[in-house]
Amino acid sequence: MSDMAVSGSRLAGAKGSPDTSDAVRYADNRGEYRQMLPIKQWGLVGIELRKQFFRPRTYIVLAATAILPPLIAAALAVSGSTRPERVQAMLITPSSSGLSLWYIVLSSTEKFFIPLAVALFAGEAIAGEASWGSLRYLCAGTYSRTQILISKMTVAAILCIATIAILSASSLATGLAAFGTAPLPVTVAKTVSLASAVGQLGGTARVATIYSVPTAIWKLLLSTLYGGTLEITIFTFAVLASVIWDRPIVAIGAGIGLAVVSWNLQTDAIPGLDFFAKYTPTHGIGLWQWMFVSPALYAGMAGFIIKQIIYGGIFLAAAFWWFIRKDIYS
Amino acid sequence: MDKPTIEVRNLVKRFRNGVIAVNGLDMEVCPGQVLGLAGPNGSGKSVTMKILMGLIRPTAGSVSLLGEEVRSGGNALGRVGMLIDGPGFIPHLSGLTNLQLAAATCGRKVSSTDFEEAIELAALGKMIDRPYKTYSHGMRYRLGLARALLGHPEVLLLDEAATGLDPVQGRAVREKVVEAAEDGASVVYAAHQLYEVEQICTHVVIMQKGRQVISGSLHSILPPDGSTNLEQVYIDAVNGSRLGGGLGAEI
Repeated sequence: MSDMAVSGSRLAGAKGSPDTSDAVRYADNRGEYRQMLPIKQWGLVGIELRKQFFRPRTYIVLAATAILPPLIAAALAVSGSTRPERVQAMLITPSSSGLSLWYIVLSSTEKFFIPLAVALFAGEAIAGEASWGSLRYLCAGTYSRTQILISKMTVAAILCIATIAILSASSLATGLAAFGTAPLPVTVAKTVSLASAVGQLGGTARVATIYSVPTAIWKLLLSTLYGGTLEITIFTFAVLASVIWDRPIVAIGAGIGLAVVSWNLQTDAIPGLDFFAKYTPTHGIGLWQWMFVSPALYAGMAGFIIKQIIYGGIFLAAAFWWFIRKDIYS
Repeated sequence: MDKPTIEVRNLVKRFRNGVIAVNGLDMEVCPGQVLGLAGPNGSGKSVTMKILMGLIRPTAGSVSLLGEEVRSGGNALGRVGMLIDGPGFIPHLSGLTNLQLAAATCGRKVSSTDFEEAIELAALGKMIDRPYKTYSHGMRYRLGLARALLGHPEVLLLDEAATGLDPVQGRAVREKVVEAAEDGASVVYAAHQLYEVEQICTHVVIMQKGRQVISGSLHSILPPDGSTNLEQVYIDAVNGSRLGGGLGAEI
C-alpha cells in the first residue's frame, strides 16, 4: 500500500471533508495543486467528442485535408496552370480564376479522398472503442445501446462534415490567393456545331460559360453538398461494418471497399455487371458539373440523392438492429 | 439474512457455433458477501460475468441485479462496478481524463470526495496526467480497480483483478475488495489463483465446462480441521468432473 500512501499525500486534503464543491484538487506533473473542472454529466456526445477530438488520427486527417488544396495548387503551378485541364466533362484553366481550384479539388477528391476520410471516422465509431477494450465498460453503464450508437455516429458525422468544410474552405482560400478573384470560366469538353458555338475554333467550337464569383461560389457549394450525399451511403455502411466487426481496419476497409467496388462497377471494369452500374452508390455523382453549363442541367440529381437516402436508411437500420442485439466481448 | 442482490437462475449461454459456455448455473450473492468464481480457462467465468453486466444475452435462465432483471442500459447497472477482461481505457487520454469519463458514464453519482478516493486508489502519482498508453501493467490494473470502485457501487464484479500485479499491489487489491464487502457491497471475484479466493471469499462457485461443480460457503466446502485447502478441493472437483462423475452437485 506504499504507492497509495504516497499518492494520498499529493491530494489537496479534501478527502473526508464535506462535499461542498464538485471541483477536485490534485497535484499535477510539477507537484503543484490544480483544480480540475467539476465532475458532471456531459452527455454522451460531449464525452465522445472529448475522446475523438484529442486523437492524433483526427488531427492528421484534418491537417491532411487542409494541406491537400495547396498541394494540388502547387502541382498545377508546376505543370502549367495556364493550360486547360480536363476535369471530367469540363475544361478548366486553373489560372483563369481562383475558384477553379475548388472545382478541381471537388472533382478529384470525391472518388477516393473524401470516402477514405468518411470511412475512417465512421468505421472507427464502434470498432475503435472495441479495439481499446473499452466498449464493454461503455455498454455496461446505464446508457442504452441506441444512445451509444447515436452519440458515436453524431461525432463521426461532425468530423466528416468538418473534413468536407475544411477541404472546401482551404480550396477557396488557396485558389483565391494563388489565382486571383476573376470570374470562373467553365468550358464543356466536347465539340459542338458552329451554329450554337459561342466561340469559334476552326470548324468546331467549345461552349464556355463564365460565372461571377458569387454565382460560382454558390454553385460550388451546392455541388459540394450534392457530392456529399454519396457519403451518407459510405458513412452508414462503414458504421454497419463497425458494429459487426470489432476491428477498425476491417470496418474502414469495408467503407473504402464499397466506394472502390462501386466505381469499378460504374466504369464497366467487371464485364457482365454493367446492368448493375446505375444502382451503385457512386453512379451519378458527377452530375453536379452540369450545373455549370448554361442553362444548368439538374437531370438525375434527385434520383442520386434519393438513392443515397435509401441505401443509408437500409445500412443504418441494419447497424442499429445488429448493435442492439450484439453480444459484447471487447 | 439480507435479500440477494445478485440472483442467477438456471443460466444457459449457447453460442451460435453450438458451444455451450454456461450450462445451468445457479448462484446468489447477498450484501457483504464475496463470491469466488473459480474454474479452468474456458469454464465460463468471464461469460457469466458479462451476462451479469448485460453485455451478453443469455440463451436461457434469468439474471437479476438489485431486484431488477439485467438488461443492457438498465438502471441497476449504474450501481455496479466492474473490472472484467482487463482495464480497457482510452489510450491517448490521461488516467485522470479516463476516470472523469468513467465518472460521467457509470450511471451513479460520483462526488468530488469519491473521485479523490479513486485517484488515491489508482496511486499513479505524477503519471495520472500522462496518456494511459504509457502506463505499466500494474498501473493500468490499479486504474481499472479505481474505476470499478468509483462512487462506492453496491455490486462489484471483478475478473482476475489482481492478475500480473506484484504481491504488495495484489494484497492491496484484495484488501480493497474485503473493505468494499464490509461496507455492504456484494462482490463476485473470479480468479485462477485459489489462494486469493480462499483469502477473501465467503462463498465459492467452481465451474467446469460451463457447469458448476461445487458451490457453497467456504466454511461448508473446506473441512474445519484444515486438512485440505481449496486448491485440492478444486483439483479433485475438476478431475472428478473430467472423469464424468465427480462431485457434480452442490456441497
